[in-house]
Amino acid sequence: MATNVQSIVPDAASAASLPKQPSQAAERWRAFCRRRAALVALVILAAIVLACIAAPWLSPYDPYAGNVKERLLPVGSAGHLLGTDEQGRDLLTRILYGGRLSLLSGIVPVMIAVILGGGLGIIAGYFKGIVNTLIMRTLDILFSFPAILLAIGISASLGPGISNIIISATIVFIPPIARIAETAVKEVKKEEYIEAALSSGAGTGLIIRFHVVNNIFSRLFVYSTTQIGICLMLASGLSFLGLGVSPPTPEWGFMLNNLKQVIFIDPIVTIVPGIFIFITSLALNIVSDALSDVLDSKG
Amino acid sequence: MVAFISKRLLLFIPTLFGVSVIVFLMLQMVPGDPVNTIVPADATEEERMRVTRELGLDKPIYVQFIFWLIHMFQGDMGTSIIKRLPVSELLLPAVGNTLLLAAASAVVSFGLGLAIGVYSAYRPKSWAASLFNVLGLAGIGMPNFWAALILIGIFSVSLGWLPSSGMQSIGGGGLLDTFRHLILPTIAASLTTLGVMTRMVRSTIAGLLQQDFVFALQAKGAPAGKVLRHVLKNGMPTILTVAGLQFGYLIGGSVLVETVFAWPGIGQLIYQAIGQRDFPIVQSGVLVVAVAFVLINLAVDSLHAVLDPRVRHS
Amino acid sequence: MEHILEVTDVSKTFPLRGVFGQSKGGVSAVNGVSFTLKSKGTLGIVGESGCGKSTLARLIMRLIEPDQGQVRYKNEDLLKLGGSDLKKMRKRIQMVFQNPYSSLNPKLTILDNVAFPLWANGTGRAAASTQAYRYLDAVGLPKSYAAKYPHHLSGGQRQRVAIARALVLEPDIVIADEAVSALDKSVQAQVLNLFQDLKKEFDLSLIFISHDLHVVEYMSDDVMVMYLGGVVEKGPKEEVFANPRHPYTEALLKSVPSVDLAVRKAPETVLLKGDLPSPLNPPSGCRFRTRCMFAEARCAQNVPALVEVGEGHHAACLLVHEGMAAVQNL
Repeated sequence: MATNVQSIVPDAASAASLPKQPSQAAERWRAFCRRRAALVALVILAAIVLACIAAPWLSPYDPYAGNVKERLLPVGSAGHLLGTDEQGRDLLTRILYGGRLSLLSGIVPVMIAVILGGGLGIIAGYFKGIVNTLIMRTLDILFSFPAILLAIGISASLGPGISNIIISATIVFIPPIARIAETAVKEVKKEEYIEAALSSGAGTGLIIRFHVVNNIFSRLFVYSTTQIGICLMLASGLSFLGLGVSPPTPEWGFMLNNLKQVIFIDPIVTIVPGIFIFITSLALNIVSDALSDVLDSKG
Repeated sequence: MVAFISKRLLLFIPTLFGVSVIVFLMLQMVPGDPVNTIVPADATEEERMRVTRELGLDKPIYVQFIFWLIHMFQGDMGTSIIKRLPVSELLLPAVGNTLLLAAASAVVSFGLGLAIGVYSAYRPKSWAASLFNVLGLAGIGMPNFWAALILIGIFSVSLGWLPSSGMQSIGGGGLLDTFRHLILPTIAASLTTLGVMTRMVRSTIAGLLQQDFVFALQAKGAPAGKVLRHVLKNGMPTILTVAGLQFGYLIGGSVLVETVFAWPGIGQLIYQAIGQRDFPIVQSGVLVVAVAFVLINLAVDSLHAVLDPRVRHS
Repeated sequence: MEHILEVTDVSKTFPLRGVFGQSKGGVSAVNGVSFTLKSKGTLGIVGESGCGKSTLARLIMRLIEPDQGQVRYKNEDLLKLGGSDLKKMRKRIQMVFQNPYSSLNPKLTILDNVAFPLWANGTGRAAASTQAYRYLDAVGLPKSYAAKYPHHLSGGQRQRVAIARALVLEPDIVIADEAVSALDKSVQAQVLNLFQDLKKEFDLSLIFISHDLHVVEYMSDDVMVMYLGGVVEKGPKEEVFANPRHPYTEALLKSVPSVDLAVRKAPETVLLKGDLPSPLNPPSGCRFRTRCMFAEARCAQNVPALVEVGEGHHAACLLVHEGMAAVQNL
């Protein structure tokens, strides 16, 4: 190798351009669609969400007022597809309107927890040392409470109301999300591109913005989608206990509370709101399971 | 080994301390003056001041906290505002009842979960295994309070087979009576855990069955029972760890099922106390459950370390 | 000026902590290393894994803080800089890393990966992009690659991107830390030639770190051999390769399976005994003595200093004057 070596392999850089490759997103979508159960679940989920959003256009009834003379009509009655509740209100209408609140209380806490918990996790994971210890130990303490107990305790302190349920649920989900973020950040920190960024004199903010956040995002995203179903159940459970909305506001968990009282008159009326909680939560679990399969396999 | 356990114990104490701080703070956030729950509305300013001083509420917060902690240590959890009984007297039987329910649920879900999980691992393509997989997913996604309502609707109201609430029939009953009252709550409480255990056991065992030591055993002509024993031994650390954690959830998450069935456990007690604003009960109850949860996690961690040497040296 | 970088007596020990935070000794990674880099020259640093060459590179760049020593760049001690001065310094010395798979951010486009150092130093997006395109071109990557992501590129192409990124701040000194070690041999040649071309085009001074003697011999003007955290020999390339004066250098040269180096052949002689000692507990005195054929009692008691054995050529061996005959007779 005393003189300039001629390469045997033609210079790869001289290729005019790389062959056209499908984008990562398209690949992943196709992988997702191959899982039929997940696709079905996604469709059902979309249908439920859209129906709830379109509630005022889909139903002629008032969700708040009902005809007491028509109370507790069974499923399939004329004019009331899902029957009526204990005050004669059309159940389907209340399901659609109530779904908005229930879905919101399932998704919003997780979204806020991703921002807050993710932020805390990034700070703890990037800065290590005492900052890490302080943040993670405090979150561990919160994590030491069983979720529903913590939520009940916080809700009890704050008082009833759906916004307080959202606050309690957010607090419940911040610790595990923060832990996922912290672990991911610690791994990313070991990569050489972080060293390269440091050696160019970049400040912490820039490094976190361009090199950390986008590299932990998919793991955070996958984890938080698995929590939405759980959050939905937690929030409706809290509503069921009466810690959420107050009458006559419709909400799936709260409707179960109302109907519980008439269970001795009509034992199967409680099925309806509950089945929506169940199907939505099940569909969410299936979809997020498939999402984590698809996204994780790409590393 | 000793280093591992002592390190865990060291972390355990500040965690407990932190838990008690949070429980204390939670109650401080409640709007309204607790004195008002004791003193009638038309009481004089003097009376209010007297009660305030009696309860120690005129002292700064951290002093109140320390007094509260000391009382807890001595077992003095205060007096119930509504029931006028010492809190500890009310808590103890409630904890017992919750433990009974949790234990029953644990037996059912761990036992069934183990059996179904192992079966599904051995016959993964059978229709039964697919069915169990779906049922497992359903169990995880099923809200337990809804399942409770359905069970009551079917078995208590429609069929009239089983009682719908309480732990005993009015006028007391024997063991059999309690057992009959236990059935429906146990089913409702077990569903989620059953789902989790079935799926987890299945994937753990299935993973182990692929390993070389299984082939080696089979090649030596070992009977299926012996292979199963070895596989189970290997899977135990993971399975027991998850089982232990689930037991913690059964205790801590019992509120919903207890409320629906009016089962006199600690979840029901705390929930009712919240409604009645009976704060000594809420505070001590939450503390007791949280401490139990932390203890269970510590025990599960230590058990895991004992069973699986790899954990000790990580 | 003649020397653009003067490193004096740089050391770093990584402390070890026990379960409860107590001190359990340390890993002596770099021990009293000194060298100079000639302006527009190339210094090759060679040694086995664990000899501290990568740590040394990071100490110079202050990615890791040294325990002691001086790093003088154009008469300024870099180790004393802080704040915005430190940031300005960073632009002058850049590094190309070893692993083409983890040295680029997989979530940024090629263009953004190269432009990032400019953003970090206050350049606006548009200007940074223009500059980045210039350097992508300089390393031979066509414009169409700019919008792609690292996983679309091969290892060799990624290293080109890494080089472009290192050049984009227009440094005077570039440190290549095992920059070609992860590449296939055929690709290595291209990248090495690229380094030579870029060095001329941009008037760079290069520090080339490698465990591969061929590569070091091809690229360097001066060579420095490291062992277990210390410098055992350094000098002009031809001198060191033709006339190694340290037993370790001699052993290294003889262990290379190639005909191309001007080395006397004595395949039957075993020059290296035993295994690499643990850096937790380096041997007393001369660190190489446990594997050295010529080790004497005094090698355990005295740490050999770098002694001049030729024009600009230094070696750290107690036997270097008397033992000359012994080495030459092999």
